[in-house]
Amino acid sequence: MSSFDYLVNGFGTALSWQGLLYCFIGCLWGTIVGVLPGLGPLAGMTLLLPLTFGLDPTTGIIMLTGIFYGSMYGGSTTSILVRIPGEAASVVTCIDGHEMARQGRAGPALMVAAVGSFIGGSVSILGLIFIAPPLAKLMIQIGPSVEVMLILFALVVISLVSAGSRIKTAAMISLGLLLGTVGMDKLTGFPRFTFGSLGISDGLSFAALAIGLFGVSEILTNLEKTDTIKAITPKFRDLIPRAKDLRESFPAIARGSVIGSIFGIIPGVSHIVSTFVSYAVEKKLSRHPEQFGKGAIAGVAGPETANNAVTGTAMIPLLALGIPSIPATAILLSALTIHGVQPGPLLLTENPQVFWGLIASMYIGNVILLILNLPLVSIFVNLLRIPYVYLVPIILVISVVGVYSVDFNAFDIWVMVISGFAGYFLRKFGYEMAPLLLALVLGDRLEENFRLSLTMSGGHYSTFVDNASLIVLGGSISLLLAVQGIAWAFGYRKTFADEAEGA
Amino acid sequence: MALSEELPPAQKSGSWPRSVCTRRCGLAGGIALAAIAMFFIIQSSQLEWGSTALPGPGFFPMLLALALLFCSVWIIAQTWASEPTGETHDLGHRDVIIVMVAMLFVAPLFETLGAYLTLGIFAFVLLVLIARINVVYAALSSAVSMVAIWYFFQILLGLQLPWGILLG
Amino acid sequence: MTKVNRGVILASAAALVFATGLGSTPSRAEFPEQPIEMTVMFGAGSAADVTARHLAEGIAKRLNVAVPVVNRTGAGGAAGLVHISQQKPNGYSIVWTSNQMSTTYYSGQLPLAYDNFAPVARVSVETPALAVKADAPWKDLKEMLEYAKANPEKVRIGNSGAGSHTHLSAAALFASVGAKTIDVPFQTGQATVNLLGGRIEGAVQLPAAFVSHVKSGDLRIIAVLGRERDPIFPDVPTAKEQGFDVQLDMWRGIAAPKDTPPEVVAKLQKAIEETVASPEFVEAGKTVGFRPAFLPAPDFGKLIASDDKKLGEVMSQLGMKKTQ
Repeated sequence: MSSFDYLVNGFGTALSWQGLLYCFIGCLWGTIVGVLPGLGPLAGMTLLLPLTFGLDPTTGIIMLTGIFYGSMYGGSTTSILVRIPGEAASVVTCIDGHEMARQGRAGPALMVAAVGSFIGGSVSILGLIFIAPPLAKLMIQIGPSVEVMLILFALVVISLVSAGSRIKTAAMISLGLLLGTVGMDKLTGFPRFTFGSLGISDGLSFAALAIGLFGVSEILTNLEKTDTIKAITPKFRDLIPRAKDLRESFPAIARGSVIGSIFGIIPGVSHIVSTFVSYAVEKKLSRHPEQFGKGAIAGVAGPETANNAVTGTAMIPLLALGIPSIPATAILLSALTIHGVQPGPLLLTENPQVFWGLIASMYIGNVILLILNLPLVSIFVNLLRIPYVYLVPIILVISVVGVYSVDFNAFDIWVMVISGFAGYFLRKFGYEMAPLLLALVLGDRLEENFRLSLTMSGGHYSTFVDNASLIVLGGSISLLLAVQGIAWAFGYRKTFADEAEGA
Repeated sequence: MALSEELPPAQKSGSWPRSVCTRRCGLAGGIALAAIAMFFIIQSSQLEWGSTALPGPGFFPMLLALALLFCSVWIIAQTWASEPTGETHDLGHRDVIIVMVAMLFVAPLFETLGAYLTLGIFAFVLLVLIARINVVYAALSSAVSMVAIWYFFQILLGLQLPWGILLG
Repeated sequence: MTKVNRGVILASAAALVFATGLGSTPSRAEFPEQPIEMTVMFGAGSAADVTARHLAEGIAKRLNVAVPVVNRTGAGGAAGLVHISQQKPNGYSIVWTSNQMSTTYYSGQLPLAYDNFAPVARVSVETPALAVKADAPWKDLKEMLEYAKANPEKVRIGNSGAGSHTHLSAAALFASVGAKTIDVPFQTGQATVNLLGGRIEGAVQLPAAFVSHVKSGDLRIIAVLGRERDPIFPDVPTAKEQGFDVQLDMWRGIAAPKDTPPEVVAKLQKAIEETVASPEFVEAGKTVGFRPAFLPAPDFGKLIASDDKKLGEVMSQLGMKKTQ
C-alpha cells in the first residue's frame, strides 16, 4: 500500500462514527480548557487520559490530540476579551487582541484567530504528512548548543520590536531571565532562591506570572476608570472582519503558518516562542508598525496561526522518534504506550493505521473546531455586555482557581497576586510585559542548554560555533537582516504613502 | 517581586487618588528593580559559582542580576537627569486598593479556609465594595457562583479544590 | 461562563460519567467509603505515570471506589511525598513512589527519611539499561569500561537528571572500575536524542526510552543494570553476568502516611496484589516497559531499607549526599 492509500484508509478511520465522536469530544474539551485561564492542554489531556483506556488506540489518540490543538483555538478567547492569557501560547494575543476588544472589535479578532488557527493547523498537518522523516532527521541534529543560539536569536528579535524604551526592555529581559533561574537547578539539582520551600522548587509558575502580569494588572488599571468603561453591546456587523482586516490578516496568517511549522520541531517551549517570533515578524514587516499594541489585527492573526501551526509539526518528533518535544506531546506518548503502540522510527511500518488515522483526524478536527468556534464568537462577545465591575470578581475567581489547578499549589496564587501588583506599577511606569514573559520562558532553557553544551564539550566554548550551530546562527542573522531590510524598504514606502494620503 | 512595596505611604488626609509626578515614579521603579537585583546578587553570591568552563548554579543568576543592576542604575540616572515634565501618575485609587488588599487574603486562606469559602467571601467583598450592590444580592450571587465553580471544576473537570474547614 | 457552556457541560458530563464508570455505592463504615487519592511523584505522561494510572484503575475496580491520580512532581517528587506525609493516615491518601524516596532524601530535597512512610506494596521493577549507538566501537560492557578507564573524561554518559536513578546507576557502574566519565543530566527523552545525534557516547535510561530505536537498529544495549535480565531485551546480559557487580533495580510501589492502620494497608495490599497479577497489568508492563513485581508490605519495607542504605553509599561516594 502506498502512503496515499494509507491516508485514504486513515480518513476512513477518522470519519467512522467513533472517530468523529471522539474527535469532537477532544476538540470541545480542548476548547474548554483552552478558554479557562491557567488550565492548558496538559491539564486537559491528563484529565481525559483515563477515558482512553477503554478505547482502541487510534480513537484514544485522536481524542487526546483533539484536546491539544483544540486548546490552541480556545486560548485566544480570554486573551482577547479580558486580557487574561487562557493558555501560555496566547500571551502575545493579549497585546493587540484585547486592544481590539476595547475598540469594540472583539468579533473580528476572535474570528481571525479562529480562521488563522484553522489555516495554521492545516498547513502544519501537510508538513507532518510530507516532510516528517527529513524534519525528524533535522531534529536529531538540534543539540543543546544549537538551542542556545536559537534562544539568543529569539531574545534579540523580541528586544528589537519591543515598544518601550530600549533600556527598560533590557531590564525586563534580565529580570525575566533572572526569575527563570528561581527553583531547582536542572543540572545539579541544587535549590536556588527557594528558601526551603517546595512550592517554588520547580520554578515560578508561568501561568501564574502570565495571568498576573497581563490579566490582574489589566483589571487593576481598569478599576481606576470603571466609570468611563462602557459595557460593549456588539452589533452583528461588528462581528465580521472587514475587507481591510482580511487584507492585513492573510499575509500574517501565511507567515504564521510557516513560522509555527518550523518551530514545532524545536524541543522545549516552541509553541510559546513561535507566537512571539510571529508577532515580531509582523510588526517588523507591517507598513504601520506604530499600530501594534494599539489593536493591529495582524498582531492577533500571526501569533494565533503560529501556535496552531506548531501542533502538527510538534507531532513529528513524537511520532517519528518517540520523543516528546513539548509537555503536551509527552501525554500523547503515554497514551500511545498504554495502548501498546510504540512511537518511533518503526511506527510507520508497524502501526500505519494509527499514524494515518491520526493525521486524517487532525484535518477533520480542525474543520470541527472552525465550525465550533465561529458561532461561539458571538456568544463570547456578548459576555462583554456584563458591566465591568461585575466582571472583575468573576475573572479573578476563575483565574485563582485556574492558576491553583495547574499544580495544586497555593504558592502559585501568591505568584499571581504579587506579579499582578508588580505588573500594575511596571505598566504605569512604561515597562513592557511581553519581553519579561518570553525571557522567563526561555531563561532556564538558555541556562540549562548553555551549561549542558559546555559539560559535553569539556568546557570548550568552541561548541557554540560548530557546524550545526553556525548554520543556524548564520541563517537566523541573515533572516533578521533580511527582515530589517524589508522593513526599511517598507518604511520608505510607508512615508511616501502617508504623504500621499496627506496624513 | 518586592514591587508591591511600592505602594505610596498611606496618608490620613488629602484626596485619593494622589497624583505623583512621573519623574518620581520613574525613580521608584528604577530603585525597586535595583533592589531586586541586589537581592539576587546577595543570594547568588552564596551559591556555587563554578568556573567559566563549567558554570555552577550561581553563575547565571549572578550574571543576570548584575545585568539587571546595570539596567536599573542606568534607568535611575536617566530619570534623574531628565527635567520634570509636569506629567503625573494617579496612584492609590480606592477600588484598586480594595482589590489589592482583598487579593492578599486569597492565597493564605485558600487551603485553610478552603477554596469555596475563600473565593465566596472574596467575591462577596468585591461585589459589595466595588460593584456596590445590595448585601443580600451579593451574598446570594457569590453563593450561587461558588456552586457553579464547584460544579464546573470539581464535577465536570474532576479537579480537586481544597475544601478546608467546610469538610472538617 | 456557565450559561455559555451549558451544551459543553452536558457533553462533557456524559463523557466523564462514561470515563469513570463507577456507579455502585460502597457499604458504610468500612474502608474504603470515599475516593482514594493517589499522589504520583512523576510527571503526567512519564512511563511511571502510565503505570500508576493502570494500577489506579485496577485498585478502583477491586475496591469499588474512584482512585483519582494527582501528579505532584515538585522537587524531584519530594513535593508529593511531603504532601502525603501531611495527610491523615486513613488510607485515602496514598503515594506512588520509587527509590527516589531515598535519593531525594539524601540530596536534601526531601526533608523526610523513608521511615516517615508506611510501605503498602511493591508493584513493579524497571532495569536501567546502558545504550550506545549501533556503530559504536565497543562490543560489550568490558570493552566500553576499559576504554572509559583508559580515556578519562572522554566518555559522556547521558542520564535523566542529577541524582536520578539513571545517574546513580551509571555513576556506580563506571566508578566500580575507577573510570572517570562526564555525566550529562538531560530532561525527559533528550538523552536518547543526543545519543542518536552522536553528541554523547552512551546513555543510561529505563528501557522504554530505547525500545523503538533498538528495534530500528539505531541503538544497541550494552548491559542492563538489574539483578536479572530484562524481558524487553532478553538477549542483553546483565552487568553482573559480564563481571561487574552493579545491580540497581528501580522499584516502584505504593506507600501511605505513617501510622496508617494495618487493616487498611492489608486491604490496599490485597487490591494491589490482585491488580498486579491481572493479565491486563502484565500486558501493560510489556508495552510500558516495567516488570510486575508484587511484594507485600513487610518485605517491601525491608527492601526500601536495604536500598536506602545502598543508595546512600553510592551518593556519598559521588559527593552528592547532603543529608546525614
